[in-house]
Amino acid sequence: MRLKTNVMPIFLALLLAASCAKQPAAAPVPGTINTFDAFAARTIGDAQAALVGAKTWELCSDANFPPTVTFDTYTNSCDPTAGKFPAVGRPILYKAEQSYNIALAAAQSYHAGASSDTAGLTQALTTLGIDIGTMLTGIGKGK
Amino acid sequence: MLTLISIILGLIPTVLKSIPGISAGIQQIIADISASVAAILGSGVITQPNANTILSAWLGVVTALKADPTLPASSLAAVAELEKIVQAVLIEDAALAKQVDWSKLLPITPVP
Repeated sequence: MRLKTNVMPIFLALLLAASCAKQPAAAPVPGTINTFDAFAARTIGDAQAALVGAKTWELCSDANFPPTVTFDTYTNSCDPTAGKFPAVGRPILYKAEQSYNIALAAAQSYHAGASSDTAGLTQALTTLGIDIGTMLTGIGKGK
Repeated sequence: MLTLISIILGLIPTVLKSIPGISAGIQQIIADISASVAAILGSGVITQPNANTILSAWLGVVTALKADPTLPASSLAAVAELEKIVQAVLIEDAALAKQVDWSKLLPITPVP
């Protein structure tokens, strides 16, 4: 029951997102091939920003807040006032990272014209949205 | 077009309401902002100024919560980190609404 309570707002938000995504965009975004490509890139870019922020906090916490931490292509500052990274956040951050990489690969393939699987990409973006929402809700509650 | 930032903005009140010991006054403010945000998100038209306005409203609540010494420090620290992450997402979202550079969208190494 508790899980349902926590996840329900995310599902409602995603339902809203899905309904709104069908509306026509005002103009194409430079660097994209169409509005769906732009939607995918924006979702992934937003998710990337959220994941980098959360992972920075996790690594800073694990290393007892050194001046900076480095992972992948990032070197980010640690905030010693942040407090310990919530234990509940570790598995959901890991799952969100996996979902992000899956969605990124699908979106890159679609953007490059190597795939026209819009249903698969939509599913990957939906899963990513759920996982990012779950992650942020979980770590925001700080438990 | 509604993006992940809109979903995230809609989830903030869920996090804020979970903080134990929030005063009735702040709870009412959260409820009022939630209603306004739901109306904006429900319209299906969310613009960058709208997103910034929504985030500003939530940041005001967070600031008020930080000023309450009776609230648990660990909860406030977590909310403060969430606030930073949402701000980073908002900045990225604004940039992506204008132009997409696919070379900057890179895999992240998952660590269990």
